[in-house]
Amino acid sequence: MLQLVLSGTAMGAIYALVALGFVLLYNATNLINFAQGEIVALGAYLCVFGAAALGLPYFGTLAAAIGAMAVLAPLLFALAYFPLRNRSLLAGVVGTIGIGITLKNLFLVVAGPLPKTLPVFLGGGQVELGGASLPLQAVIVIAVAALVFAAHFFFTHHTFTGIRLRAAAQDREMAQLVGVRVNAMMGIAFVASCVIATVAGFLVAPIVFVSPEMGLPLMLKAFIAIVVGGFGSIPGALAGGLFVGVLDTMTAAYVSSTYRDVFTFLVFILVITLRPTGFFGERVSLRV
Amino acid sequence: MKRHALGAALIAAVILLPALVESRYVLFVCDLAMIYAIVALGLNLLMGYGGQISVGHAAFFGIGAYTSAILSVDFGWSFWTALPASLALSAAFGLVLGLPTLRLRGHYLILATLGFGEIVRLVLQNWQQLTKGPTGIVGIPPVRLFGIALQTERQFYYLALAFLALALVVTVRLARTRMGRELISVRDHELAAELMGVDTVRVKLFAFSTSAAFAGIAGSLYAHMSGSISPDVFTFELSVALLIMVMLGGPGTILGPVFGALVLTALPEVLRDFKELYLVFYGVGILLLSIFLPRGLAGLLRRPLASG
Amino acid sequence: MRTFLSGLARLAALLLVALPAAAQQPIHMSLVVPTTGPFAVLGTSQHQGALLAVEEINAKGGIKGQKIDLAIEDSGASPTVAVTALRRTLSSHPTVVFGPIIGTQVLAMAPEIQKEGVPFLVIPGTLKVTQIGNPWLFRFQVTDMVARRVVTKFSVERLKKNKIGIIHVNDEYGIGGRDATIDILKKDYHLAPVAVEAYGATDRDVSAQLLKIKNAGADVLHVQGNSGDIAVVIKQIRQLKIDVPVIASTGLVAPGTLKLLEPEELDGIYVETAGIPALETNPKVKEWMKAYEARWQRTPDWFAMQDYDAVMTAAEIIGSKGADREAIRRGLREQKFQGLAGEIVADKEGNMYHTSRIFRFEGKTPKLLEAISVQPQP
Repeated sequence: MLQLVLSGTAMGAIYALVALGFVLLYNATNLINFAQGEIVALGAYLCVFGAAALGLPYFGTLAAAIGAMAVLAPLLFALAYFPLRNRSLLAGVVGTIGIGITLKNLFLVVAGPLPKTLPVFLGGGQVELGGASLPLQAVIVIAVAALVFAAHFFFTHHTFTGIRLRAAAQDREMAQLVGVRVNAMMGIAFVASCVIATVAGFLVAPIVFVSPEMGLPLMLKAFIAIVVGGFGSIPGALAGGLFVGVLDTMTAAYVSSTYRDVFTFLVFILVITLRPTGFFGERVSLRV
Repeated sequence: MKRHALGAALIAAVILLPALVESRYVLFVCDLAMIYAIVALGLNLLMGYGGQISVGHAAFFGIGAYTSAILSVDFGWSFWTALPASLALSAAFGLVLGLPTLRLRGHYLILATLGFGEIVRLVLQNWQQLTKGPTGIVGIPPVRLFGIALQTERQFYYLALAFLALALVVTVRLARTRMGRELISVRDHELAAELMGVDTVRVKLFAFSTSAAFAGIAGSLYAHMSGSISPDVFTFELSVALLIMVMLGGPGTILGPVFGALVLTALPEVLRDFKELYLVFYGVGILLLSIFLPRGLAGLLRRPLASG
Repeated sequence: MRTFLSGLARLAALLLVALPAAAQQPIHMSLVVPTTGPFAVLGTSQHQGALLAVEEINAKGGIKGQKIDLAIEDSGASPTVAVTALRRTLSSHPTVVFGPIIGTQVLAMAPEIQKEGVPFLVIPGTLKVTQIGNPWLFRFQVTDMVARRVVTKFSVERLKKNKIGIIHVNDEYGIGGRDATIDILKKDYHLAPVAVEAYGATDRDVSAQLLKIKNAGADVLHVQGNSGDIAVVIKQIRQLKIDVPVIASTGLVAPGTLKLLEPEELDGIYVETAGIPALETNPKVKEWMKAYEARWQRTPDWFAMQDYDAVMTAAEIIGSKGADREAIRRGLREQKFQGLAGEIVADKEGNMYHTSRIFRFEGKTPKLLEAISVQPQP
């Protein structure tokens, strides 16, 4: 039982990170980023190329990839996401889907369809925890994810820019009135979202293996995490992600591994219809 | 006067096309486009008129297809006898989706429809006794009309055209009825509509089940045209494509979805010469569409045929 | 006399011009495989194998002077896309069509193939493909039934195990293999598996499923997965210290998959596969591998070899009987060929290969244990 929970937690941590990136962007721009999975994939590919080209030690690759993403993200924002910010919900959905398709097929053209991987931290190995065994990689994943969430909290509550970011997310007009440069905040939120996605890609690469198709399943799970945790809520992203990860393993173990995904989606629909606010989420307000 | 002449010429061209075109490939693409157009018209009812966004409509397309396939392969029903069953079952599932999501807005609704679409696909894939699992159903007989089996693309063209025309007529008339106007009022401002006495529950459920029914009929047509169906046809990607068809043509217009279906079915074929790159162009095209033409091509022309 | 000679000269001149013109007409062939989408890896193998064959033939001047023109279309992720790809390529009137490795795509394309009447050489393992009675369809692959029979026979008769646990990917390939195994266990050995678990192709955690199988007391584990996901399963089997013999399906030996696993993870694992090109002692295969690696900078897998064989077989028939669809069909039905991937002979359903093998990994090196052939029923 502990084994299942621990295994589920590791994947759950990944889903939480993907969800975090998504929620950050949503709060800043009101966009449902259907390309979030592909951005995670982009981060993963940057790591793969970095590792092959530079041969840095484990976290060095991550740093290099984050650096590269920090350059690419503003470009992506300016070209693709910024123009979408004021469009209708439909245009936002379709537009981000288009971004996703473009990215996915660029990966295919540039990197080819064969899956790639990253070396594991310290060559892998297992960690024993109270009778359950967890790969070292999974422990690293959980640790790094926790760090990211902590860093994000610190950033948005204890730094100047971070507080402004939160203000802009909570009430754009009000923030504008008090002099917060909202568009810049949007850009920062987007870059932050991409950087977090890079970390998620880095962590998930040795587990999932990097391929052009890796984005969609991650994004679908992240959606479930966000709805369960509460749309737009950061702690919700964390709780939701962990919940989905553990739910997956529990369902496979105790219900049915064949119908596992059906069950997970049913839970998703149940939550969305009965308690759309999830654990921590926003009120489902009327679109007035 | 000129508009009528143009319209008549267009109709003539559409009817005469199979006589002028030799290529079975082109005719097949037209057949497929018309089938998708029927689904798009239904989705348009839900989205363009009703204001509800669905990224799960491939599910209803699939339910219609599987209903007809199972009834004809396992029970020997003809396309025509199975058709009401497909229609009814799809409409019923439309209610299944519509009921729990009545109070949902915006992104919640989108995600709920996505979840619904995935559940249907997974069930189709795993319920082996009924659906034959991931391999799907083969040997679906062609449509028989007056004793003749419609085997060729040319024959099927006219069948599909007839159904498309029917779908168009229903859409046009619907826009003019009270239900149609109520749909539009709900789309534009739900709260106000409710205050004015519109039974938004009835309206939304109607939109869901009717759009599902359109998709179900199209699904039946697809099953009998293609001869075999499998769960990997009715994917999220297809739901997305249908959504784009409506958006491209112009949500809330009559001919918009048809045009969108035609472009979105023909365009990947035209782009095939670019091999792997063609999907990159497709993705960029969709992005540009969303940025510059969010009201679709009809928005360009500014001819809202929707006003009842 | 002079008129006769000049007439002769003119005739000769005409012939000299006409002959090369006749040789100029290329033989049209089509290759419809997934080059985009989730199956792109498999499609790439197919594409590279087939194209290598065509290039080799053309480099030697073609078939009796006629070069091959291979049109390549993408069958994508969906059977609908595959069908439109097929229809598009049929407008160039190919003499033979090489099809994708995806069962549902082939099934969707089958009616059009029958209407058109063109030989369709495909490589999925899905049983249904050759059960629909399409005379133009030829399967250059070992069927799932044969593959599973080999695995089951090996488990029960060689390893002497009878508590079979199955973990399979939840798609057409995995479910087909599962059903075939259950069927064979029942009919041949009056056994049933003690545990059957499924995982999604994109899952990265199968610990729940593996623990269930372990707790059910399985003494041998069959893993039926694709090249992309099977590595994940093997890794976790090792991590969870599941110590029973493991027999993996052919996806494990795809060159890309092997790269994802460490020698310790592979050591002791059995794998069922039609073959591993790198281990073949046949000098022709060794030569072929060198040519493939030079051309594509990649280690070939068995699928690439099968598509290569398919093209070569078609070319052989064309060489002796001419570029005629019916002749190719008859040739495939009636003749025997020697391909790189083994002997090629059609059984009554149109299946062309009938041998599969069991290997065992010693570290990262697979060693051949047994080759088991099934007698083709003509």
